[in-house]
Amino acid sequence: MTFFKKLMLSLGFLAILMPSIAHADSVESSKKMVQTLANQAIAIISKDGSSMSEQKTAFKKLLNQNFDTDKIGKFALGRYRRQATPEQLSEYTRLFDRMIVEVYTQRFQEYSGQTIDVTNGYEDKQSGDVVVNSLVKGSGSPIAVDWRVRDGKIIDVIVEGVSLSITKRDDFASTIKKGGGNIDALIAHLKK
Amino acid sequence: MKQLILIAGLVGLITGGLGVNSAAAQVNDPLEPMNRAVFGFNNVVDEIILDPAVVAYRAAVPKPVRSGLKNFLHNLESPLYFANNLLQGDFTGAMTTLKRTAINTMVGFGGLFDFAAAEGIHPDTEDFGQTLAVWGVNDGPYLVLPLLGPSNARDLSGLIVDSYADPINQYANNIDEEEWIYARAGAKALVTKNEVYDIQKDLKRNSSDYYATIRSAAKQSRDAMINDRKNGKNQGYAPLPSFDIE
Repeated sequence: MTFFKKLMLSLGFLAILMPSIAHADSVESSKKMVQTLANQAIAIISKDGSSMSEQKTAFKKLLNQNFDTDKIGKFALGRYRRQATPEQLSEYTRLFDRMIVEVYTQRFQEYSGQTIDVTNGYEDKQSGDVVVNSLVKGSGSPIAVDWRVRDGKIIDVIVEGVSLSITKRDDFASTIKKGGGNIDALIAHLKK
Repeated sequence: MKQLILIAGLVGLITGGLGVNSAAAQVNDPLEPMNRAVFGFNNVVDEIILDPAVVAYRAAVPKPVRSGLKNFLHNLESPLYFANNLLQGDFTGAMTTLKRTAINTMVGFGGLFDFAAAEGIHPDTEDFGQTLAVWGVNDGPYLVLPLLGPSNARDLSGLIVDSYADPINQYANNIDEEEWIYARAGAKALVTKNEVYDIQKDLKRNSSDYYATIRSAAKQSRDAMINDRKNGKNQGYAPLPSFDIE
């Protein structure tokens, strides 16, 4: 075997191995990210004597580090995004970011006094996204919470099979539809 | 039994026959105006009766008693869970139900304590609506039922079959004690409401169209139940719905 052949062969092997190494790596790092996020979030809620606004500020930082709010916002707007003017889009993005912090802060507050344990992780074949499975354990039966990760950031949280991103998208689509297909109907609501 | 088969056949006709379940499809809601009206009515009932009832229930009844009632009612559903697991060909689920019922009825004082769950034997709750789904029946149009809330043609048919087939309901009917059935239904409504109270408040506060939010969540939740993905079971490796940014 010539050197060139050897080189090509090893490069070929590398090419085959590389994606799986990369994916195994991203599954593990995603699991670690979710567990760290869960621990930090619970630490924020459980911290004695911190006010609601302090908690929110801490959450906002945590969310911006771990969630791709831009992707979530775009997904939630669905096909209406293409009809939006640049002004509408920037207004929507600003309001959506504010809302998502609110929603997730409240969601995490419901988990206070409970534990979040990462149980599994895998790569979704179709989308290439990583799914991190976790169990939230409190006094009752455990709640299954799945985290969808794309490009190292969370794009969806799925509680007992209910996706927050999809629920938001359906909520928004109906609001816009009721408002005669105008995104301003949604923006007006998000302003409240 | 003959009647059951007849009803099941009718269900097939109502829900548009056999078809393939498509995951994460948009909810089919041709009756939206009517559904919204019923939804509005249910919300009023919620606000003036059920919400205050839950607040009173939480204040007056200590937590151990509340979970006792929940476990007891849950245990009463066991014959249905068992039968539906069998009808779906899920023998593991049927055995789990049998084990849970035996443990909780005998050791758990007639079902007041869920010792089985403490032993790691979690419920495999199956109803006839889910059985129909496993058999390939589509969910049909989305329905909001008065007092009972989100459903669809398939699950409503399942509900009718289940309440008809329920041995405790049949027994109560046979001895002319129908008020047992109503008492049980009332208690079940309160216990269920107590379970979803906080999440419902959260959704209501954070949605721009509460009706559409519940419709979407109900569909997703039901699909998860049909695929047995509740309570941390079957976690992992389920294909995800698309997340395309259009």
